[in-house]
Amino acid sequence: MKIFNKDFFKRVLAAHSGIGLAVSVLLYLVCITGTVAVFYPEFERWEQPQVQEYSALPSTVLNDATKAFYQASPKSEKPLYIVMPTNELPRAHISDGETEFWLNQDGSLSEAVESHWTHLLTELHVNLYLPKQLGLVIVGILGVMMTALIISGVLAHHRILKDAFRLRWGGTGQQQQIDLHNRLSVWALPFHFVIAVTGAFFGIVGLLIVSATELHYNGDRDALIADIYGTDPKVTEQAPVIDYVKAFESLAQVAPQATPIYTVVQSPNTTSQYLEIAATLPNRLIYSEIYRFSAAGEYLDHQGFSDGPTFRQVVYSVYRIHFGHFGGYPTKIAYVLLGLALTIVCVSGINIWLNRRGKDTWLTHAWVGFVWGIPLALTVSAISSLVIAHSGAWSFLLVLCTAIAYCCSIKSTVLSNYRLVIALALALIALIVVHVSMFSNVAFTGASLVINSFICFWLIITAGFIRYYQAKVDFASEYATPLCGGKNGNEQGFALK
Amino acid sequence: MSSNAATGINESAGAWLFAAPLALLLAIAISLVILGSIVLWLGWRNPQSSIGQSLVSWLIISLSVPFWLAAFGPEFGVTFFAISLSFVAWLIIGKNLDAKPLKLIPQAKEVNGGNGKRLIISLQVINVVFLCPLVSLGLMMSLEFLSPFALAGTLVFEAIVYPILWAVLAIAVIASKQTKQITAIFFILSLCLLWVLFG
Repeated sequence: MKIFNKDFFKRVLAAHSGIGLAVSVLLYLVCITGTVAVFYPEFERWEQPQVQEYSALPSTVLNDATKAFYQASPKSEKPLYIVMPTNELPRAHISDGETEFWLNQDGSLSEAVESHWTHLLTELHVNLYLPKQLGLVIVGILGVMMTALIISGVLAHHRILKDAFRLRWGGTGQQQQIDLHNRLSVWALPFHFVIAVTGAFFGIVGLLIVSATELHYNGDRDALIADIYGTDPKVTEQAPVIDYVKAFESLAQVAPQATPIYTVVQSPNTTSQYLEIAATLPNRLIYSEIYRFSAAGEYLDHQGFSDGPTFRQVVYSVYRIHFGHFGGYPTKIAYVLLGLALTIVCVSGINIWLNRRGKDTWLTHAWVGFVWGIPLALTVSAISSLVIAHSGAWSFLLVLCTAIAYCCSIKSTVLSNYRLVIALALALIALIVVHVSMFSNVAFTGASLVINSFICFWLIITAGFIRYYQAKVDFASEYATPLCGGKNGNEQGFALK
Repeated sequence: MSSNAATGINESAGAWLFAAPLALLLAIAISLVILGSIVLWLGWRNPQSSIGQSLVSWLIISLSVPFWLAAFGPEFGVTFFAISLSFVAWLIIGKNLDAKPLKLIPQAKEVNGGNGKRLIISLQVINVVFLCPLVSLGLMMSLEFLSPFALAGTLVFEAIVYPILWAVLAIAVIASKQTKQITAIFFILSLCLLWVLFG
């Protein structure tokens, strides 16, 4: 009996469709926010472009920075982070996890870190802006479902070789959607699979930790963490002030190729405080190696992410490979394009199902509103965040709901697509205009230039869509009567899109 | 010092590769990916082409891998290779798209969903969201004794395999005709796992 018979392909395809229908709405939100969030360090800089930027923060000023921080906020035993300048974020900031300030190069405090819109963007991606743990698990489950979609998609695609380079454009649009869906997904399979599995890892690793702790470590979670990530050094009677200068000199001797990215004082203001310096190593996917120093700046050990057990190196490489934080701007641009492809795969999957139904209902119109409403809401919320602090989340929700309601009211997918895309183009132009007006002296330098160029890139993409939908509107007005919801609420035209 | 001539030749070839300038390595790597992809596409277009031609094209593409590794190291090299292949393939596809005149979508007749489907869908959701993760967890833990790694290594391996296993079970559940029976079995297995962990 042949396993891969017609019934098998039919069942797997049905499973693929079922899973896709169930998760595509949220998956689309996660994919599009993830694509934009590739540039989240640049967006942080773009939101506060007046902050001083520099390529190096001397170790001699780190104690001054610490003193200034504890003058501005109460002393505590929460770990104290100083994030060093890097190429993509050439400014430093100091934080205890709750209060955060940018730093000037002389170690004095600059503005408080207030990148509200970037925070909205990353929160939407990481936990759908829900309570942290709940949202993380839901997004993790979306990662698992994406993995299921990839596996079932490959199994169901019995013409994967025959159609390897085929892209039929136009016609009713259905074959176009199918070919677009298949070509974009198959050729970027390694990327999509890695993104899905690593994304799932972040969200559901907590479930594994709970069960492994109970089964193997008698409920001692710290023992499990120590086993995987390495143990913390036990230090006592440490000096009251951290000798950053000595520590950085020790680092240069121990690991001359290491580039520091942040420092952490563990158990600060206690006799058991010690310093960790996280540093990247060339050509390594690991997030960093963590070197530990006594308060007097003497090297103690390192955590083994670069040369420890393979499993430790693997688990610490997941972040960079998921977020594309390696290889500089060429990789970021590649990740944006691959992320855009993944987003289109999500949308085209639902479009295929809607086209097969062949009937425009509220679902079709709401979907159009959601697809174009999300980028429109992100853009408008960016504008409102620049103008009114803390307004991003509300404006995002308001614009999204308005877009969906609008599409459901006019009941014409052709017109909805066309008008929302034009609205998006206008919003993108308004965003650049507002930013340039507010920060004219820095609007075309550094990260502002990068992000404003990134916005122009989206404007070009949007212009392409305007042209595409214009052709559909012209076609629909020539052949379909009427354009806006006929007697039966039906419309002859295109389900997408 | 090499012990024989063959090793000496391999070592000097490898040394040349890693000593070459980055721009040259990148140019060769990308050129091989482009060339191999074009040969693959030409073979795909020709109905008379043989498997041999496909194999040759994939061989050319894979010849680029040493150059990617030499330029960027093993971790980044493999990543950039996979990314470049995607973009080259999409460029070829985009350049050769088959554009057709626009047509109207035919309207479908009404189709009733049926109430029986709601129960099946509900069971599938329960399976996929709650039972499959527990059954996958149980499956992994029951096979831990087979792992060649130490406990910590096994746990990290499980963390990476877990979403894949969960996904495969989810597909199997949704594709199956015996949803009710599977639900019952998974429910019992999940209870067993919860008892083992917390009982």
